[in-house]
Amino acid sequence: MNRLMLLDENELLQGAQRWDLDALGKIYDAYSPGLYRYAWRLLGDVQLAEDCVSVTFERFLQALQNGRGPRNHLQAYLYRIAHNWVTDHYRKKQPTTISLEDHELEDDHPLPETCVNTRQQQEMVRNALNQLPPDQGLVMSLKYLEGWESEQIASALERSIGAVKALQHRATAALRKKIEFSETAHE
Amino acid sequence: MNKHNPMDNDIDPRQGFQALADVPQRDPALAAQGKAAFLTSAREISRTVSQSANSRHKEWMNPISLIFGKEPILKMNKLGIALIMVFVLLAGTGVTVYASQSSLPGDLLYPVKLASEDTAALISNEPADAMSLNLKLADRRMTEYILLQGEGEIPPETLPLALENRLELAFKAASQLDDPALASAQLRLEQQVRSQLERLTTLNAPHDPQALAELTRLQDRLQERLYLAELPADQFRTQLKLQLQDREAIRLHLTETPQAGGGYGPGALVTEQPGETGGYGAGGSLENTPGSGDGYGPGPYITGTPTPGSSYGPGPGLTGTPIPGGPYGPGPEDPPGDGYGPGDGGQPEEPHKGNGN
Repeated sequence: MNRLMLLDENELLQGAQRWDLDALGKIYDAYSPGLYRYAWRLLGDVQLAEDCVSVTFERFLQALQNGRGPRNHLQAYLYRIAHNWVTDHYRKKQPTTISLEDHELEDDHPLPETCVNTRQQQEMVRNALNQLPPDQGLVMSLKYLEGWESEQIASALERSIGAVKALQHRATAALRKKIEFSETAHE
Repeated sequence: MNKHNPMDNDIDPRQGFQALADVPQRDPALAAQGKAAFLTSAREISRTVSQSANSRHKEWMNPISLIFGKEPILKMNKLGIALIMVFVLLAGTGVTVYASQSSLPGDLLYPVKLASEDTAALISNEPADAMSLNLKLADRRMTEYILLQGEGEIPPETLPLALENRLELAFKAASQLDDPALASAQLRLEQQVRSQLERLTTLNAPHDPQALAELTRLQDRLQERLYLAELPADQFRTQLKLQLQDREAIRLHLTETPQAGGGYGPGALVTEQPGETGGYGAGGSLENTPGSGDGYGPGPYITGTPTPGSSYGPGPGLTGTPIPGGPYGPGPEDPPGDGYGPGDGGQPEEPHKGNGN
């Protein structure tokens, strides 16, 4: 995230605080595609991902209304809301089974086993991520799903780079342990 | 089953997340619906609470109380009161302008929004600043247009015209830049117009034929702008100049020629004067007749005498003498007509002085 982007973001945020619809529209255009991708990766469902984006922006408006909106780092703020929504969703969610019919075919002639394997792998990573403490899950998601640099994450979460790396390290170890445990349980 | 463990990698955990790398394309219709819903919510909220709690001017009382004690007004001198009144006036204006920023055409505060924009445009002297500001304002008009369409309302005709006007001003400002600056300005103009065209494509076709015609016309005008923005610098200036001349000619033509069905006729070159009794109604013989609309035409040239007894016509001649002692005018022996106005030749005598009772 370079200085120019930060300046633009702060300008948009100031516009949003004035309820300037143009600025709000630009914020939506700038951040909703990334939030949608993020939500889809964590949820694996188009409609849920759209719901997540919708709730994220709705909560952002409520925060502005109550004077509790972000003063800076708007993008990180939106990702935090989305991540919390996903975490809540998984807390409430009943375990689901994976069927071939549910799977969106990604190439012309996938083997049924390939579909199930891919889906299982996705679910495994999602479940593992969502079992992490929220701050660890957020760091891992931003780092490995969204491709943010540690410096960006540190700046967005207002933590030191060392703290972010520590969270990342603990999360990686926890993920590995969870997946190993999961595989052992399946075997 | 021998499954691949997505996190089984000691070197780079990134590989563990490969399973989630591919994301299906977002449905543009759902994205557009989401945006429309978000902006509608924003508009609704901004109507109910125009100011956030932090922005409300509520702390102003505290320092006054601290300085002046429990009864601040009584202890203030006139200058202090005047300063506070000026402050309140300015703050009130500022709050109104601030609150107007989320208004849409048809809202009470929308003219305030436009006035604040015009003021901002007036103080943007530098071409680059003027271009940026007008592009921003054109974008605002587009947002308003899309919001109104999204809410199922028919945007007023003035809205797309205002958008075009802002774009024209932005292009005009860009043409005043020197060549190197113009190149990047043209790129920005092109991106902006292209983005506006894309925003229009997210709209559902309006059911109202007039709104549909307006939308099509707006798309055409934006296409013209896009074409202009893509021209080399010298052609850009030439073509823009020609366009501006054309528009100016059209404006002049529109202001000089009365339109059939239009409102007020010209009134110039009228050879006959309206009758003294004036009034509204069909005009008399005119060399240049106003349009056939319902405007106010000159009155007829009245040559005839109003009917006796009718109102406002000249009354009958007065030959009688007012009763001595009568307060006004001639006495009842020779009563004037019911109307007001001069008699038909006779002059009333000076009324006698009376006691008026």
